[in-house]
Amino acid sequence: MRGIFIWDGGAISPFNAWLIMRGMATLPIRMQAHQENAFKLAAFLENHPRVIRVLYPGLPSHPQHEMAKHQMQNFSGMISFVTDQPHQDAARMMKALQVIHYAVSLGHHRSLIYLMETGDLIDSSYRLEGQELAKFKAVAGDGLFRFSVGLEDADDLIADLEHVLG
Amino acid sequence: MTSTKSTQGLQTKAIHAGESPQKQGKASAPPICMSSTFIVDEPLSFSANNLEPDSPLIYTCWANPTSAQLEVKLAALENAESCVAFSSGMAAPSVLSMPG
Repeated sequence: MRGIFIWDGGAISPFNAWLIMRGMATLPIRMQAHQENAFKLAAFLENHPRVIRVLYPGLPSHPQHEMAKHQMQNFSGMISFVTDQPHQDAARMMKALQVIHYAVSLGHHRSLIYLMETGDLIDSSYRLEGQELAKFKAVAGDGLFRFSVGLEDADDLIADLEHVLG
Repeated sequence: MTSTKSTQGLQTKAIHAGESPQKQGKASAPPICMSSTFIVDEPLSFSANNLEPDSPLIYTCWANPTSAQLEVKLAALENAESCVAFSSGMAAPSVLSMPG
């Protein structure tokens, strides 16, 4: 296995290894904090009148909540949700969010949110057709927001989304 | 390299696995070993064909003390036998499809 580093590349640099190692030391307590914040944000979103659907495996409303409880020790900070006006909301987020970054990626201490547009997802990743595509659209509509809940104070994140969603 | 035991909790392992004090100076926090090459004091083949996981350090592209510490930590957290750390997420699946 290690021969691959010499023949084909891919060896990690010592500095990057050191940075990851430094981060790993606080990973378990950070994951607890991610989950704690995610539960608060998921509860806020579930009760928001303009939010149609919240997908968070820690919530009983998630279709695979029972399986998630069996498989996961921590439900993490990743939430998906669908609003009644995804593209308008995305545009508002780009302009008006104060704390949460409208940016791709996930798993940071900073909160990140991005509209995963259904057409883009089907083209680039899922390549669903027919009945499968219809099933996906029934859940995701034109797109769902992927929300990577960071470690900021939950009240500040809620205020940020409240301001955008109205 | 480490005194971490499998019975220890996740947070204890996350902090201590792979990070036993260094022989030189007994630094509490792990230093970064940026050397790309290591002085060899016994006959050692430089061919990757002849290198084993427990071969002495020869070249960072094969193994490096700092990268090895990370690998020990990750293996401990996953309760795995060992670990190989790659330079990126996509590097890992890419090499799986290459001859090696």
